[in-house]
Amino acid sequence: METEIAITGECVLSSAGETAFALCENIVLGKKITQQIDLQMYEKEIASLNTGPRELYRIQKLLLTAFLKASHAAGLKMGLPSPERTGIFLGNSYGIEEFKTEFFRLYKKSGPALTSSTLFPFTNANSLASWLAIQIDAKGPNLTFVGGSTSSAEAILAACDALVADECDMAFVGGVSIIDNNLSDEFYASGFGYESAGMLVLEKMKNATLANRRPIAILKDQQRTIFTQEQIEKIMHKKSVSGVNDEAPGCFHQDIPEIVYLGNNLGDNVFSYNKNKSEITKEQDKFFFLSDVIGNVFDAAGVLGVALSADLFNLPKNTKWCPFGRTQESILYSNIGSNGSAVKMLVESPAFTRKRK
Amino acid sequence: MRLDLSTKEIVVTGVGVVTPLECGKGTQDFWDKLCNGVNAIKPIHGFDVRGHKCNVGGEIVGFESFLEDCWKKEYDRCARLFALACQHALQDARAEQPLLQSMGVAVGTILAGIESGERYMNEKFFLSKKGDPGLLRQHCLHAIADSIKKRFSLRGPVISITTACCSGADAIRSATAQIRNNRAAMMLAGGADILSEFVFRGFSALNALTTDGKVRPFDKRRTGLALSEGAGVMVLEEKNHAYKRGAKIYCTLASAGSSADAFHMVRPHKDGEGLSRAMNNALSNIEGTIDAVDYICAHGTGTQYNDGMETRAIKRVFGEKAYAIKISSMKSMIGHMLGAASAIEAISCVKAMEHSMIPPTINFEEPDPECDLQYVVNDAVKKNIKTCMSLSAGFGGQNTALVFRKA
Repeated sequence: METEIAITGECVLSSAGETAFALCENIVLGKKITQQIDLQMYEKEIASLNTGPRELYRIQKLLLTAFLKASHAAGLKMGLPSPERTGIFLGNSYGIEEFKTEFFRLYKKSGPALTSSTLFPFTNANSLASWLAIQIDAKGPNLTFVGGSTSSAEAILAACDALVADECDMAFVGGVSIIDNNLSDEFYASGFGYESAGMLVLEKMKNATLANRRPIAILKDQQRTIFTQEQIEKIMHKKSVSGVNDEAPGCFHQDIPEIVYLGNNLGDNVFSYNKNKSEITKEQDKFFFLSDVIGNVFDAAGVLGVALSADLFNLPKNTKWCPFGRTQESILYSNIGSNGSAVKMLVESPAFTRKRK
Repeated sequence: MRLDLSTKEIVVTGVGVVTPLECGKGTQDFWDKLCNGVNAIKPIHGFDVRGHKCNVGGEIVGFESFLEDCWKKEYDRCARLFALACQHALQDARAEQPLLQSMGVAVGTILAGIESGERYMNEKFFLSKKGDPGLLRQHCLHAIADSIKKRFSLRGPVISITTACCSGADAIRSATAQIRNNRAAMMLAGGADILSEFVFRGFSALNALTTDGKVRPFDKRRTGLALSEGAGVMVLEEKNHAYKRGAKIYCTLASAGSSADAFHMVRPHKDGEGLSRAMNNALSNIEGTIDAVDYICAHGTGTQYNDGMETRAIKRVFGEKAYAIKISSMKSMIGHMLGAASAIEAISCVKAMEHSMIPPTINFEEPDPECDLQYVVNDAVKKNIKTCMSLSAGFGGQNTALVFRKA
């Protein structure tokens, strides 16, 4: 029996606001926004949680704020419904580099007795997801994906797998892309966009309905494809690659009535889907290239793309900018990493899901 | 549509390890030494350990001679270790092209290319150089999986995962989900990490390392763990797929479970509450396993905290039956390989079933009243194993349990 996964809460924190749409809209309309998030405005909310005596690191504050906002959006005001059945799935490939460099500098300068035991655990990429689990008492699966720009998309996939396999009833899926002065210029040379922290609340549709939590979007299907080395090199040189969707395991083979491609990162200009030809070109109407607008947001990319898809189904009438018009029923989000690994997700509007049934 | 609960049976058809025991010679050599109780924990030569309470670890020497030539330049030590384990596993599974077209890779690691990272950070922060971007790329946590995908021309999912000491087991868990959900026909899955000054300094600061030069899991006089390095890889596929291609089937990966303590960033929950939930989650998926488990490959780090916690966790799950289950910890011989540990321990479960033999927990001298289960100590024990479980627990309260059954 098919299981539908509902997105019942979301937050994408950036200097433009608390949604992915706000970030895109501000940039497209030419409004001036800063790269870095002003955390001052969230300090009060963060302080409302007892996180211990130590001042939190910036990445912790960003993640916690995104969690609080997403939980609130999902109507979770009284804590988690079932801690043991709540999972955390995070993309965090680069967020710990600052801790690594700090720890390295410290031990290079000091003798054995002076190495920091409090900093060391944060050099492990899973520390952020584990720390969040401690703060919110989430005792279900706790997985951190470190696949680079596809990491939070991997996390969404894993969360859906865990929900379908009944390993948890609710999943918080996140990713943070942080401005870090210790990071090499190399990362920024690859087109760093905006500091952002994303969080989605996922649960089985039937559970959301029982709990009166309104879905803002439905995750219908997810798959992966992989580009060969030859294809990656073509992409790097802006040459077209076709037929990707017909090859390898993990392709969509069903008929999808209407598709809007929401790509990002490497390969935006060429990779595509079409139910007839397995290929779409940039000339076709219903495209939005996320990275063309916001640049690379690394670990936040997957969550940001899915959150934007959800935003587009729920736009208020007076919105000044919309990439596709307002008739879309489903959006195909494709997140491609530099290794050629692509995670694709089909996001459906709740209204369309009802109509289809 | 894909989002269905799949009932596909996942089997293990190949295994490969690189550890300080056999230094890359092959899985059978590793297994023989493990069952003979060979101790691979020796004084560390790779970096300066003067002034630390611990000066031992498990270093792998000379494994490069077994590697394909293409890995000998450019790649970080950790990627090379994982690559050699993949070579062994693929050979064992007799998996060649075109099978690799439908294969993916899942890598569990904690610090991956930290060797390159240390060199990069040293250049940048202490030698006033710009820092070699090539080193930075090798330092990325996803560099291992990316390299494997490229070398073997894999067309399935490429996954990099970090869940502290559970990383390898969670990579295996994640790989099964890819097969179950039709994203890959076969998966290479496991873990890798190296013994670096970076990690040694961290564990030393936490006072988690052995102070008497030996690792003594479940012994009253245990003083801590010894860090080590290695890689372990399994080839996983759906049972029918394995039958059709005439593959040797080692066993079934019957179930897996995970949980979070949500308790402390470093210490596990003292009562083993989190680890017991991971075990229960794994066991609840298959009927009759509580009675059937006849061997547990323990996380068994040799720290005061872990071994007591793990014993209590096993009792919480199995009650009185816990006293009838044979338990051992191979970390007494090969040390703690971080992200690789749980993958190599899972592979030792597979080998234990194949050879009907339980490897020992060496260095055991004085029983601890807190650890009162049926540990296999000092000598291997012959036993027909039908169902066994591999446990892992890590920083941040991560817990994972894998259950293997004879096919």
